[in-house]
Amino acid sequence: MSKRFICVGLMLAVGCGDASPTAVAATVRLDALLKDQVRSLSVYVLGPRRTDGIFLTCSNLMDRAMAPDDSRVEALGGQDIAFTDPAGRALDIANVEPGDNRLVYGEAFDAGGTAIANGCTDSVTVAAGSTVEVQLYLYPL
Amino acid sequence: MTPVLLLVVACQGATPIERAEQLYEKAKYERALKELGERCESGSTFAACERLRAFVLLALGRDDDARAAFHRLLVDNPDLSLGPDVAPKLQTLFNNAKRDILETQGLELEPIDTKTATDAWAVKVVAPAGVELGELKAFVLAAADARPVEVTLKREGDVWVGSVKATAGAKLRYFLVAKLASGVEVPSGSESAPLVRGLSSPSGGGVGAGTGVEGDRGDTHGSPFTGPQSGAVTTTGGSKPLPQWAIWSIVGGAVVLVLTGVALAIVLTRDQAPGTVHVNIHFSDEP
Repeated sequence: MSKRFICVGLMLAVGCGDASPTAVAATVRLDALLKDQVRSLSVYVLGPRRTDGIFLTCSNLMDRAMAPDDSRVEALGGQDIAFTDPAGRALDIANVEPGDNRLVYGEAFDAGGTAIANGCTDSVTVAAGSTVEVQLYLYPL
Repeated sequence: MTPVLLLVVACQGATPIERAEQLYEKAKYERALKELGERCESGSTFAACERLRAFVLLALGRDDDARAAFHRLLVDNPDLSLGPDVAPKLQTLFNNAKRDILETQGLELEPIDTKTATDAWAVKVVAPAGVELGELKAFVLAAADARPVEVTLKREGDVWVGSVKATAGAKLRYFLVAKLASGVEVPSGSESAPLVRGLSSPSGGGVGAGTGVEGDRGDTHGSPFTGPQSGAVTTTGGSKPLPQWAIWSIVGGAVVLVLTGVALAIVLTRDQAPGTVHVNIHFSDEP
């Protein structure tokens, strides 16, 4: 009987207390946690068609049904970087074969080397001798 | 069975040159040479036969014999060419053989000094540079209907010398026959189309004064390959120089080709130049 009373008391305290700030705090904490956990990034520029003729899609990569370093994937460029700046990062991947419908795929890893986030951008056109700017959003896995 | 029979029948129906060509393409050079026989018969197949013989002989490492085959091929057809897709070594040998023929066909007597002797004149021919002559004979036509008188010239350094019997008139009509080291005889002029040497005297006297004789190739001071200057005298062989417009056309065409190639190379290289992908990383909280 006394235990039930305590539970009801707690529920009342939560319901009648500062509920909205708690939810906001939770959101901020999750964002910060992802950035804090990331220790390295791997970013790839990939061709639109696999060597077996099947089209490569961001969905395949994001679902991790196809690894970016799979031998069937046409790797056009890539870069592995240590993640030291949680505020943001930009990088250049040079010497990419020009063409249309390139995919840019990135994976973020924690200190243990576990992938904790990934992201992909498709329909990227790389023009000969020029630089194309791409926004890559990484989402928690 | 039937295809084999057809093949045998087809092979038996081929000419010796065709069979030799098939053997040459299969690198069976000795058999190809045997198929061509000791010598090529004159006629429509002569050129093809000597050409193939040269190819086979060079393949066998018999460079001198191959050159001789080219000499025989070119002596009656000095304007022939091997065409494209020929091995560089063959092309070089052919070009050298062609030069031998053209230079030998351009031989002529040097101006004759008619004052120093009354009954016989000394004649000389300057040996062509880089061409090995085994023998050189001059045939002098004393009269239009007379048989040519053969004069064997002897080599003295860079010139071949001999003497011919003095004749009346302002011109000496003659032709030369040189035997190359390969044994091939190369004529310069002929009995029906003789060369003409104006008779001159360096000391100012002599029969006919020797200069300005029309049709005298020796008085033209041009290339030995330019041929006669008038219709009165014709010589065998010798290639005509290209006219000025043709030379400039070739030069212009070559320049246009080079510029086009450079422009194409630049465009193609630029289109294939790699690009750069600049990636901005963002994190999103929602999976």
